[in-house]
Amino acid sequence: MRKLYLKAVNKTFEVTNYFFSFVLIAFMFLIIGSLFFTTTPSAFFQQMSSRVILVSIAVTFGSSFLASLIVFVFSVPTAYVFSRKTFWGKRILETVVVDLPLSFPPGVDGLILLLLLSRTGILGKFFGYFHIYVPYTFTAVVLLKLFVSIPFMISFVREAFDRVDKNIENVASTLGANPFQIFYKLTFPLSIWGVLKGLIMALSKSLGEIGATLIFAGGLTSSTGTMSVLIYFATQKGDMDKAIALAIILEFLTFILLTVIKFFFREKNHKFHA
Amino acid sequence: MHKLQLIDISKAFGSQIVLKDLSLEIFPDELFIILGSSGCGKSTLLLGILGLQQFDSGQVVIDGINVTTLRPGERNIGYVPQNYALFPNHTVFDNIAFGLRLRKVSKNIIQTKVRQLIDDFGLQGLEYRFPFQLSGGQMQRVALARALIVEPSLLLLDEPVSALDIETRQKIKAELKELQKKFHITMVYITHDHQETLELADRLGILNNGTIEQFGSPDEVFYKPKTLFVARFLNTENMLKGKIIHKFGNKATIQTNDIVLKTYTSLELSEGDHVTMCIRPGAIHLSTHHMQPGKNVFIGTIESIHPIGRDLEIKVLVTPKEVLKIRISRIVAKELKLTHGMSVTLSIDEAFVHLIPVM
Repeated sequence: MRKLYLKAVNKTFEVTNYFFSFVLIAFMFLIIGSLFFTTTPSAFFQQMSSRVILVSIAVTFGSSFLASLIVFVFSVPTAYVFSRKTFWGKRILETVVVDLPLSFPPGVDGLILLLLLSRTGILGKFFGYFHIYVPYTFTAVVLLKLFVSIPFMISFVREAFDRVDKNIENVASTLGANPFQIFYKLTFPLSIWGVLKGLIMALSKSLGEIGATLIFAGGLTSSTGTMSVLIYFATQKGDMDKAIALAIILEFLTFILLTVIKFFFREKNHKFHA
Repeated sequence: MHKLQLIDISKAFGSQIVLKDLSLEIFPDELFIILGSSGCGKSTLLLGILGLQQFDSGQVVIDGINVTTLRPGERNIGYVPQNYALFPNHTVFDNIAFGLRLRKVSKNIIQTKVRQLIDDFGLQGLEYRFPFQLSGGQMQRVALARALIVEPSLLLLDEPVSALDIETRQKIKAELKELQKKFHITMVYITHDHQETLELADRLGILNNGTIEQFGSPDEVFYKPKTLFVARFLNTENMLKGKIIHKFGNKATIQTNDIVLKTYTSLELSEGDHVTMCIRPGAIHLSTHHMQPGKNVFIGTIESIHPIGRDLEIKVLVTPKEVLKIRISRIVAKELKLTHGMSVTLSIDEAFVHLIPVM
């Protein structure tokens, strides 16, 4: 009797899990997949030949890659400092750099950057002396993508560095390795999966960014019109064919990109990574 | 043949003093064990010797050279941490070769030396495995080989067998002793395990309150603790408080609550001094034959019998206030047919009654 009861409990647990997983997966597929059924191939390919769309793809992916690259270069050392060093005010610094930006409502980042870099802003005035004007330019797009993705990158990379056993670095040090050698031979390779997760998150955040772009970059010119912004404008104007085409391309290219990254850095091939 | 000296080492974290004027000399080729409970400063001492943490004051001297300000890699000290800390992204071969590669040694020499150590440590066939594919014992051997390949002056081992199962632990302990003889290496071994210390140490030091409370051979420290802390820390089974009632030369007679014991002591004590007597269970002989009570001979009743590993610990009530603990093997206990409440005779070898003065 007890055996039957336990069997029933196990089965119920399994079925419950499957049921909720199925509902969730179906929900996600329905939303993501529905896009492909809301347009016709001819309408899609007609939009694809539009110069505006091609430029927006270049702007979106170009600015996202550039922002991710810069984020990578600056975030890895910063995450290392946060992970390994103890200093006064570290918690406050982490809150300002990582936690606070993550909690900003969409657009607030753009507003801050605009206030800072507009002609009357502190930095804007300074750049003005050199006739440099950042808002509503491609640089603005890159800058805001940088700003929104930095917290994700630092938080993932820091976590990965935290997971690397300090004793490994200690032993390497006693064997004669200098801090650079310890970092590139051990700490960084052991954290690579966390770094990649951070990069994926940073890239995803960059690709989908819209609120801050509208405020700080405008999105009206060919150099600032990212796909997300164009989707927004097209929807507002009722140009649904254009909005759908852009959404499909954005979804498809992001999917390809993330799949390629995940394929090359499959977790099962990196059991020793933090 | 390398010697380590620690001179007046001190270290504090804020207001918490971890090491206080600690001085120690570790002789060439010896296996010195630093024994202490957790949180007593063992790891701080170890990290400081390695150069991974700076002491507030004091000197670390190896072979007469002050290495206190040198970087860890310049001190030539091998280190095997508790969890071995093998490099997870390197194969066994690469782990062992790591130190030599950093020194830009030629590939041929690396091959020869690594192969030699792989043979010495019985790691053949595992060269291209990653650490996660190794057993605890294998990881331990790789960690030792990796530390030894650079021919260090000293080898520092931080609880190196604590993560292993009993069988592997015994095997590795025997191997460590062989290793010490084979490589003529001075080893500093840190542990909290008394058994390990008794089995391995040439000499040992008990770390307490940031300083070495007592050092000497295992026999000296275990059977002749100098302080009550050492006696308690080493689980001295029988500690009886008493007063010297007679002293002539090195012979002393001590009165406890109800019994009188005779012993020898080299301590400068006089009649009326209060002492604590430490008696290891092995120094007490138990017999079921009744003898006449006399010099260090007592009649008592068995109060309890507890199994401890392969032995039995027997508590004998000698007087209403004095209980003595004796340890005998299960087989002997069976032969003597010991039971609760049984009357037995205890005789204590006076040479093994050790005195600690009570201040």
